[in-house]
Amino acid sequence: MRILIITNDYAAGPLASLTHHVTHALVRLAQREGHHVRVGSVVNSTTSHGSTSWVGGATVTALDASVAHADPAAFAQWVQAQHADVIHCLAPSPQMIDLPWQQGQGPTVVTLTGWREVASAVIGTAPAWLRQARHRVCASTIAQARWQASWPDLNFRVLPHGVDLLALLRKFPHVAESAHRVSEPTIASLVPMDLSASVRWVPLHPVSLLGLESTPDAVVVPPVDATGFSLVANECAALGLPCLEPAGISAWLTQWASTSTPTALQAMDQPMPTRIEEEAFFYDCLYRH
Amino acid sequence: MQRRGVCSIGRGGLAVSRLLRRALDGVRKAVRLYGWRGLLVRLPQYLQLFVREVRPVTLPGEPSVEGAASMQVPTRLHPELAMESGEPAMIDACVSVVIPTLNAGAEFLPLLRKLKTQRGVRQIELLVLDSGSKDGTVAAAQAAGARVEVVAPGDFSHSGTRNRGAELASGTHVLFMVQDAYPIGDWWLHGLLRYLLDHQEQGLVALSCTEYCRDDSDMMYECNIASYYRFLGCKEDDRMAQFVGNGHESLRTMGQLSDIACLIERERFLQYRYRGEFAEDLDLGVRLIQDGFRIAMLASVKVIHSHNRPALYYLKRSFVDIEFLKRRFADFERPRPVSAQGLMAGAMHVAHLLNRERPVMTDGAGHEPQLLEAGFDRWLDTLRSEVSPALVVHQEFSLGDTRMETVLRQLVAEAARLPASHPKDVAASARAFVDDFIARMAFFNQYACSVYGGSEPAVGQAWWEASCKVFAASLGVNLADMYLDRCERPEADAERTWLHTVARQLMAGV
Repeated sequence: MRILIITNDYAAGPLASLTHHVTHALVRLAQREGHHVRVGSVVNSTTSHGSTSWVGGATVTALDASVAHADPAAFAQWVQAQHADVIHCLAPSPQMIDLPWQQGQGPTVVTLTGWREVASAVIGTAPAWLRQARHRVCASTIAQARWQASWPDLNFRVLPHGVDLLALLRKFPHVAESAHRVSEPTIASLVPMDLSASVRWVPLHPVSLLGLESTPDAVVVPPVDATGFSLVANECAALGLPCLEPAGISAWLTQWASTSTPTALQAMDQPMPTRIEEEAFFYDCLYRH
Repeated sequence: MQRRGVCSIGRGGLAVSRLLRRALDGVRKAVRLYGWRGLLVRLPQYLQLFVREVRPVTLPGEPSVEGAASMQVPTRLHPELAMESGEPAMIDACVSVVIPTLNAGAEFLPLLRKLKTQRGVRQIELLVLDSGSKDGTVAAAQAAGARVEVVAPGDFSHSGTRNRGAELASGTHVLFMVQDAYPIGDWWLHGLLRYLLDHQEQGLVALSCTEYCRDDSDMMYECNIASYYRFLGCKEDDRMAQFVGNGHESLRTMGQLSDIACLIERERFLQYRYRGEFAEDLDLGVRLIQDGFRIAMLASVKVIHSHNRPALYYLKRSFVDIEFLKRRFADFERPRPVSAQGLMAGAMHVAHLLNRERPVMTDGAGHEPQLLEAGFDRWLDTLRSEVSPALVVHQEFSLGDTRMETVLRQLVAEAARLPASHPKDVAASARAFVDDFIARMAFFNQYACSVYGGSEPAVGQAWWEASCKVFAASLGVNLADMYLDRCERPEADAERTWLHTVARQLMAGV
């Protein structure tokens, strides 16, 4: 199968954002399944529009949305030249990859990778290509509810983003091992820690534990309903690493100190979060369906 | 009447035109691979193949191969994706999952968690049969609530251990799995069982699902598994198979089950049980279809599984595969290499050129990396034009796997000590090996170029590593051909004695 992936700034690398993490994994795994993948990377640069490069054996073409809109015929010609059986768009919001798709030439699958509060402010009307897609996908029921509240006539399917289990186990083998030895890990052991010395703030990006330089004892993430999806929380669940999700970020210290009501994930009692290979297979099914 | 006649002529004409088209394609391919001169040299061999192709293969009373193809059934959607009208009903069954283990590693617990939390099946029993793990596998399995049976390492066998698991199981169904597989989705088991139950009336008694490659698989594995599933007819579609004929290709195509995930009613399994030490899953499938049952390979429900193994594994595995197929299927015919020294001369030639190619494809020594497709074609040309007619031992070569390099050096040194073959035989066997390797590489290149492009060193490196594995597999197959040929000869000679030693070495531990 020939798959054309459209996303925003693909060359930024797999740890640049959740969207990048997911898209790079899907491209890689589609190649492992024997598919020929090409990427259209939407960038904010009129000068690089149309330039191509190679990333992991896939052709990546830079697309500037304003240039594409100025000459829709040229864009349509480019799409046709890709000979794609399937077009899959992935972005945090449709606005980030808004291209002048022609009738009958648009994407087969559209994945809105996350939900940001800022997105709701600029949400506007759903573009025609989003309406015409065969499948619209988002990563959590919370995100699904919000997208559907914005566009009540559109259905969204939920497919959680997958964790890269193999990479996690390679990077944090001791974490997985200790979590497996203790059947119900809790954060109780963390209470005596000297918090001011032990706690490090890291920015929201990179969005995967794989982007961290050192191994944490526990992780605090913003509540899922603020972002629509947390890959880090799922990665913690896969490893059996304690993960706190306080209701408000300012309350996290209080919650840390009080072990009576933590939302730490219990390794063996919880279902395994979706793996990237599972997510990729599900998309493979949607491409054919 | 007239209409029937026209129809019949039309069908015959179609068959002839299809045959001619295939012959023309074959000529084109041979010219591309070996050039016009090479084609002329190989003409007698091609004519033999053509004659075999023209001869009807269907025995009287047997259904045609076309009939077999019609057993492909429309692929269902994975249950997880088909829940628009709500969750499917719970299946009232107990499935015992039987997993033989040995040092199962960090990925084992996630597998048990995944199995434990499967949905849509009333009861799931986890049965782990451990044969001497020293990495905490047993403790981990117990912590996950699995029932653990310890098997003494000396008592382990692929068939016997699984048979023991089925005896201990209390479920209505038994699902055989391996420790490094991983179900896709929380409704995976439900999907397998639902399919089995829905097709029971059509005689379906056992099924397996196809593999989805892990994120760390290698190019050679991906190519192998894709072509294998095409051979079986289950790359994209669910396939239900039944007995078509006793030819080895038919039995292998129709009778394949896979221990990566194999579901069967427990009582039925205990009537058949696994046999043998190798390919026990294929053997079970063949016996089931020969008894008139149907088995299935599913593409709609998959299991995550693949390997990234060193070249030496492919040498050993391909040797064992050929040896098994020859032993299991009476009509399995293979070429008979003439000279051991010639075979090793061909192998040395390819190893030398693989070694020389590494920096070019991987940019490891400051070379300008080439576009992959052009690089592949150029390299095949080099292989074709530079075949060394005699056994030349190159001491310095790298195949990305030091154990493989050691074994190859040993084999070459041992072959060099055998009584000298006729130079013409040495040259012919060397050429035959190089041809075999070129054909395998051409197939692999076609796959690799259909997926990957560009000139990135990382992709070049992956291609080069896969090429070394293709080489190892090619050598394993050719050594097995020679070994089986010498075993059939009435008198023992130096080559046969040597090949017996080689066989013992290559078959150990696979």
